[in-house]
Amino acid sequence: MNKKNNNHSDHINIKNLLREKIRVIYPDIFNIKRITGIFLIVFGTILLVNGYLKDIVQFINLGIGLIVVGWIILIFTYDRYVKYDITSNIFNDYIDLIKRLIKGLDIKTSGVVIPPRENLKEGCIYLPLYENFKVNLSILDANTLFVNSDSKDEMGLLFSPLGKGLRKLLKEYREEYSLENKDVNNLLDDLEYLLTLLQVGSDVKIDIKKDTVVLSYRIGDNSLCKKLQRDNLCRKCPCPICGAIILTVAEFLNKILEIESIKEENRKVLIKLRVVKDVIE
Amino acid sequence: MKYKLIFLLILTSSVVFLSTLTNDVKLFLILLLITFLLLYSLLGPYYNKKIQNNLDIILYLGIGIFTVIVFQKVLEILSR
Repeated sequence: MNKKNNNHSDHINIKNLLREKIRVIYPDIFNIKRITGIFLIVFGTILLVNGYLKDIVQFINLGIGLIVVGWIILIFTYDRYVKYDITSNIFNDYIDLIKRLIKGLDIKTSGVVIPPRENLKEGCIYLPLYENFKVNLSILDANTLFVNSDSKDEMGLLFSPLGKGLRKLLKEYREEYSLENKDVNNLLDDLEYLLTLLQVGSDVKIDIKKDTVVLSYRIGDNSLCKKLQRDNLCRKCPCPICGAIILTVAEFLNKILEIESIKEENRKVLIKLRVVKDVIE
Repeated sequence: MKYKLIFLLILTSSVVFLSTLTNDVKLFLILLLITFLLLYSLLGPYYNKKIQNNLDIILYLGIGIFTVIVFQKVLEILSR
C-alpha cells in the first residue's frame, strides 16, 4: 500500500516538474494577455461602481474606458484559435487526400506502424492490401508510396507517418529524451510531456503485454477524432497526435505494430496495438 | 502584433485623456465611439476575420448606445 502511495506521489511530482519545465520553455503570452484583459475589466467595473456611488464622472468614464480596453485585449487573444482553425483546415485537406487514396484502392486493412530504421529514418505507416500480410522490410524505403512485390501479401501503401513532426518537437524540447536505458515509466513521462507540451491532452496510461499494447489518454479537443472515426480512418492512418504516440511506442519497443483499434469516447482515446510477427528483414 | 499594439496604445491613451477632460458620461461615450471607429476603420483590415467579428460586437454596442443617447436628446428637445 505504502509503495503504491509512494509511486503515486512520485508520479504527481514528475507531472508538476513537467508542467514547470514547460512553463519555462513556453511562456504563455496568451495567458498574460488574458489575465491583463480580465484585470482591466474587473478594475474598470470597480472604478465604474465607485464613480457612480460617489458621483465622480471621471471615474465612471475611466471605468467604461478600461472595460472597453480590457474587452479588446481579450478579443486579441483569439488569434490563437484562428491559427488552430487554419492548421486543422489544412490538415483536413491532407486527410481528405489520404481518404480518397484509401477508398480508391479499397483498402480494408489496419495501419502498420514501422519504427525508424536504416531505410526508413523517420518510420512509416504501411497499409497492406490484403488481410494476411507480411512486412518485407527490404522492399520498403522512404521514397516508396506503392509497395510492389511478387508476393501479393507484401503489397500495400506506404505513408510518411503523421506525427513525425510532433516527435521532432519532443526530441527538441525534452533534454532527457533518449532510447537508451529506457523503461516504461520513462516512456510514459515522454508521452505525458509531449501531450502537455502541445496542450492537447494528458493522463497517458500504457499496458504492454507480450503481443499486445493497450494505450489510453485524455484528449482536450476531440473534433478531429470524431471526423476521423466517422470516416473510419483512425485505425488506417491515425491523426498526428495518436500517430506520434504510436510511433514513440513502436520506437521504444523496436517492434512493428499493427493498429487493432483506436476508439474515442468522452474525450478518452483508447488505442489497441498488436505486435506483427510476419516480418521479413 | 504591431497593428494591435498601435490600436491598444492609441485607444488607452485616448481613454485616459478623454475620461479626465470630459465631465459628461454621454459625451465621453460618443468621443470613445468616434475614436474606436477611426481606429477600427484604419487598422481593422489588418486583423483576421475572427477578431474583426468580435470587434464588430463592440462597434454595434457602441452604435446602439449612441442611438439611445441621440434618442434621449431628441426627446429632451421635443419636450421643451
